[in-house]
Amino acid sequence: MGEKLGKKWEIRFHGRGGQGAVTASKILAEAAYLSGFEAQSIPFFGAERRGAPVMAFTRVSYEAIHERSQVYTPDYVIVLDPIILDAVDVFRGLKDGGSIVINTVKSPMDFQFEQGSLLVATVDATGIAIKNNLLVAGTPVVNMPMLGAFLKIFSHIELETLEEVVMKKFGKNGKANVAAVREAYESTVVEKVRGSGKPSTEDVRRKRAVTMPVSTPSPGVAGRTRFWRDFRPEVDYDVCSNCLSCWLHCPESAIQRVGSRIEIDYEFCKGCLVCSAVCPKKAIRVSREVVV
Amino acid sequence: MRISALPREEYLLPGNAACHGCASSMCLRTVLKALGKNTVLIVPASCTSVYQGMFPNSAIAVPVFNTAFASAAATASGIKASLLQQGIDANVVVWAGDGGTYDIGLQALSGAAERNEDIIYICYNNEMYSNTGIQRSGATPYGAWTTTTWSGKKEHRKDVAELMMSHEVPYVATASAGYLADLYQKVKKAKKMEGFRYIEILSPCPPGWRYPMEKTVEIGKLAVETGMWILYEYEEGHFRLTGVSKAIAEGRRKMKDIGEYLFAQGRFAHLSDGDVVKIREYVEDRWRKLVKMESDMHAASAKFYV
Ligand SMILES: Cc1ncc(C[n+]2csc(CCOP(=O)(O)OP(=O)(O)O)c2C)c(N)n1
Ligand code: SF4
Ligand code: SF4
Ligand code: SF4
Repeated sequence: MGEKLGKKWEIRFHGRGGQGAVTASKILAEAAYLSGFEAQSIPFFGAERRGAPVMAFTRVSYEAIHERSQVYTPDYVIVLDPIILDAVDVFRGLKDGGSIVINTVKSPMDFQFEQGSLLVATVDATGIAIKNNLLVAGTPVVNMPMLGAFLKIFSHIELETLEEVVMKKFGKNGKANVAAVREAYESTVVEKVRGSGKPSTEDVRRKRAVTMPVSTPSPGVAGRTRFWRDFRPEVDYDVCSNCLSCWLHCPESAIQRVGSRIEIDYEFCKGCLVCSAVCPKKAIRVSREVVV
Repeated sequence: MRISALPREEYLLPGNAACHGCASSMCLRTVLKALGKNTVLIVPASCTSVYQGMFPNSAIAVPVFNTAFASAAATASGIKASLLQQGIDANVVVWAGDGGTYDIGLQALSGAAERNEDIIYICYNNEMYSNTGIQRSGATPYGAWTTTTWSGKKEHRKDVAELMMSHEVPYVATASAGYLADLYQKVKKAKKMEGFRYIEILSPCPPGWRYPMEKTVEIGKLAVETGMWILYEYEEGHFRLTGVSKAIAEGRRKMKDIGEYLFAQGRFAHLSDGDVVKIREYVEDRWRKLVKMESDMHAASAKFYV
């Protein structure tokens, strides 16, 4: 058991509203649970209209799972819809050396990504869904065959366990779904594919815009605040006793201690004149700012 | 303490969007110097969430989590728990206005205090909702003009610092922008303690209080010198006045007349003589109450140790 401690797999599903990504993540979690794991399924709460890109997440672990967040760096990605590849960066955050299962008629070698290498599995789940008559309102429902394909690269859950859960879940449609699961499992093509290994600058820029909005500390968030200044404080160093009162009170961090004396940063000083007001020596002269 | 003992490191970066002479930014700068790098700030909607700047930049050089108005103390509780889980020991500190503390965030604050969460909650009290253009809050004093109290507020303020003492949390302190070294020391002390710590800073606001921008420190001092704002610490059940308030209580300094504070600010310019009398009575009552609290405390501990 020792080596299994801390072992955990994070799986991210991509699909479009109505294709059953959320159901797939739940069924996978249930099958994992029945296989003796701790498991968790999380739907992505976005604008989940029919047809809009959606996500769902499953975590499978040997130990209790405390996270309640989305999966940002999955070990596995499952793509339910070939069309979504153009709209969403399904490779985002996928661990180097991780795996991706894609519903497509293409072959694994046709995919490009920036990870060093990935295990790429492809399956024509749409074709399998149509063949097994898994249609809702005319749309092929590919979620169960995609789980079948997933088990081809995820060996910790037995195909039979998954089939059991599917059977229970789908009642009279159980048989057709189980048939699709099995067919997908058998027809999935798996290959280790090398990627570029380095992100393009365009990708880096795009990613920064779509990941968590974390700001970076930087001076001048409100621009060059010198332009806010109507009055200009000026230190008369002959009078200044270097008591640091102005430094302590400047609301702008615009007075710096340079060596043993203070200096005003005129790039950002707003001219509030607090420094002049608190100077016990009256060493800070004030004049009208003349913008040049 | 000597000013030169304060760290040179700046965690509130220049060129932020606070108004000229803003006490909130002035105090945040001092507070961050006391807290240091190993700090996470939780900031609900307020002037701070605006003057810190917009994505992708931040004027605050420690991690800041911007949270919904009502939930600062709850968010901080969660962040602390999460850091603990990850084995990270950091100061988790709420920095909220009085709107987010006295009114909208009060239930989350009371809950976190009652659970004795291991966080520091700092309220910069500018006695109104500044960011949205000066509306009254539960902290607005009697008589003050705001855009929602045109002829002056008709009620006295409530007092959340006293409410925190009645929660019997490990540490409660009041401070003022007029005494930054005192603020620095109180934050330093709070930082060393465990459990729920509450610090409230009187933070004058030039546009809201209507006084000239350079007078922020002077107004912060006058508030204490006239008894309008009282400096104290409540530490593990012990209450004591501090700084100038203590000097006044001990007779080492004379209390200034309330008028000196009130009429230095445009928001009180319309007060009638009757209003001033009412405020003076309120201030004297509160003053007597807190001085008595301190002497009762001394009497009690004297009895205990005989
Ligand atoms: C739930 C909610 N209501 C209203 C607002 C609008 N709002 C943003 S800041 C603010 C005023 C905050 O006042 P205070 O907490 O006193 O901080 P200050 O602006 O004085 O710094 C208001 C009303 C909001 N962001 N969220
Ligand atoms: S005028 Fe204000 S911003 Fe400029 S240095 Fe003096 S205190 Fe700082
Ligand atoms: S407050 Fe006046 S005397 Fe003190 S350091 Fe500043 S300029 Fe010099
Ligand atoms: S309105 Fe008042 S509190 Fe807000 S940034 Fe301006 S001075 Fe500071």
